Amino acid sequence: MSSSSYDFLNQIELFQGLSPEQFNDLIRTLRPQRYQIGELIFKQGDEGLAAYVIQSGSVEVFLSEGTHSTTLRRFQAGEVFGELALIDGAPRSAAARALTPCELLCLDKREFDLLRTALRPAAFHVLRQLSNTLCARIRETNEQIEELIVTGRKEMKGSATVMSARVDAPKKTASGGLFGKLGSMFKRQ
Amino acid sequence: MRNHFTQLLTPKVRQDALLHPMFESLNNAEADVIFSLLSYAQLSRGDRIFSEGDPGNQCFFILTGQVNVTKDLGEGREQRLASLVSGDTFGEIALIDRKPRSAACIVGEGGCELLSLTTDAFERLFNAQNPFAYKVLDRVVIDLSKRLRGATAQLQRAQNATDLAHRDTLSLKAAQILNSSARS
Repeated sequence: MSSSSYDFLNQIELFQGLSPEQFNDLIRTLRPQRYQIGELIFKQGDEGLAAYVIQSGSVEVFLSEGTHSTTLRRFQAGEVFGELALIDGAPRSAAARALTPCELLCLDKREFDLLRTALRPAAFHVLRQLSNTLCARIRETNEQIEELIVTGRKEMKGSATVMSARVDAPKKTASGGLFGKLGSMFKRQ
Repeated sequence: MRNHFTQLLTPKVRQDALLHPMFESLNNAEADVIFSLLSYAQLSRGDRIFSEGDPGNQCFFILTGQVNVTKDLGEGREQRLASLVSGDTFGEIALIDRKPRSAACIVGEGGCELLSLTTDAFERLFNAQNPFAYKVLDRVVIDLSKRLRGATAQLQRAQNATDLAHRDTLSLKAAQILNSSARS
C-alpha cells in the first residue's frame, strides 16, 4: 500500500490502532469511488452495503419527504459515514449525496464480514473504534432529546401565561368580534 | 455486592456456564482460559447488582434466575425496562464505554446465579486476540447500534412535537397581540 494512503488512513479515527499487517487486511475491503456534485450515494431504504471514508469533498446525509428535504448532517474529508451498515446491514435510515465532487473509499460490508468471520483482529479493532463513536453519538442524541423536552416544558409554561391573559381581558361585544376570531384559533388545537 | 462474588467456579457452575450462549461453543482449553478470568455469585431476590449512575467496570452473564432492569423516574418512581433471564448478558456496554450505568439491575423473583467479567479481563483477552473477547464485542456493537437507532427515532419524534408546539405557541402569541390591541 502506498505510504500516502497509509498516512491518510492512519488519521481516520475508525482505523486507529491498526498494525501494518492489519492495514493490509483492511485494504482488501476498500474501493475508491468518485461522485459528481449532487450525485446520490445511497437512498433512504437501500440495503446497507458499505461504510464510506471521505478522501476529498463533502457529503450531506438527509431525509426527504416528497419535495421537502431535511439535512441531518454534513461530512468532510477524513470523516466516515454510513458505518452502521457494518454492524447490522439494516436499511438506510437516511440518504446521502455529494455536496461537491467527491473521492470516497467504499468499505464493502461483505468483505468486512469475511474478515470478521475469519476472526481477523483488523475487523475487531475497527468495531472497537466504531463502538466508541456510537457511544458518543448516543450520548449526544440523548442530550439533544433532553434539551427539547426542557425547551418544550418552558414553552408550555409560556403559553399558559398567554392563555390566562386572554381570560382576564374585557369581553368585546361587537359582532363577529375579537373573541370570535380568537375562539376559532383555539378551536384549531 | 463485591463480597458475594468468588473467583472459584465449581464443576457444576462450569457445566451450567457451557449452556449459556456466550460460552457454549468454547472447547475445553478455551473454557479454561475464560473461566479463570470470571467471577461467580449466587444472589437473592431484591439484591442490587448495580444502581443507575454507578461506575461500570464489568459485564454479567445470567446462568439461572432473573434480573430486572429499572430506570429511576425521580420522585420515588421507577420504571422496569426489561426482565432478563438465564442465557442473557447485561452491562456489557461498560466494557467499551466505561461510563456510569444508565439503569439499575436488581435480582428478580427466585434469585439468580451470575458470572462476571471485568473490563481489565476483557482488555487482556482482546489484546491477546481471544475470540471470546471478539464475541463479546460483537454483542456490544449490535446493542449500541440498536440504542442509537432508538435514540435517533426518539429525537425525531421530540423534534416533531416541538415543531407542533412552536406552531401552537405562535398562534397563542398572535392571539395575545390581537388581544392587547383590542384593549387599547
